Amino acid sequence: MLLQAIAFYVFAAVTVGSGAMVVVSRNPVYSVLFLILAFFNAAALFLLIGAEFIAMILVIVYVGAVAVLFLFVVMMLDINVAKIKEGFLDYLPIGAMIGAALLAEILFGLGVLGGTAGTVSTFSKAGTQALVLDNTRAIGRVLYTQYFYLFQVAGLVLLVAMIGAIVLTLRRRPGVRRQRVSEQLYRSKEAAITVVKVPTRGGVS
Amino acid sequence: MLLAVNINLVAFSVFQGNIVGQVFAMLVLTVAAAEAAIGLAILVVYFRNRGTVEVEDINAMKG
Repeated sequence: MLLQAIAFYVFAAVTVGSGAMVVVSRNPVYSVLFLILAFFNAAALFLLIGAEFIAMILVIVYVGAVAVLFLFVVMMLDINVAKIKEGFLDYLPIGAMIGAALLAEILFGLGVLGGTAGTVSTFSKAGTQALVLDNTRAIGRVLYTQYFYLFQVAGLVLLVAMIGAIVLTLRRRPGVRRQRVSEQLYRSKEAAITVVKVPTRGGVS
Repeated sequence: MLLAVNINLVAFSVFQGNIVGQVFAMLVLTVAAAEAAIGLAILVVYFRNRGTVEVEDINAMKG
């Protein structure tokens, strides 16, 4: 139990620290690498809490797809981030205020700063049937039955995003010669070849 | 930010023994991935058209 607590604090601290480094670091490539580190640590946190499926999905989707996409774009565009971040300190006070407000909300919710204490703890431990099964099986049992339409809509969202990204970045270059397979396939024998009767010693003109 | 939301959802889901939070976290993940793809595509197109991604200069929609 102590080991678990130590692991939790280590992973949480690294997550928060690398999240801060994403914002602060000068080099955008470093930013993306810190983002990947934050995702890995969040996945480790999910593993600790017992949500194995979400942890694996996090590693696959965020680290495998989104972070690599970010890295690709960041490396492709040479961005002068130092110039972009010039006004960073100007926005620090208002950002700190918003952060403090959110923190205060959380503390109120937990009942630390007075208020109605124990808002969280009043939730009952109802419906613990999900934890009897293992995590992936439990998610599948709910996702493919009760939330099936939601699942389909998620697939639709991904499809729309894919088509949108392709449409946005598709570039037609006029000078390029392409193979047109349909035209090749629709050529008839009559249009393509002519049979010539060649007389003896006449040759073909 | 969406990662923070996901951590919140999963934590509450586990501690209340309710699996719906994790399903919802997965949907949030989907939307985040779609959003990142579209946003980066817009950035790429913008860079291709203008040759810069200076935030100060982006005023094409100002008319």
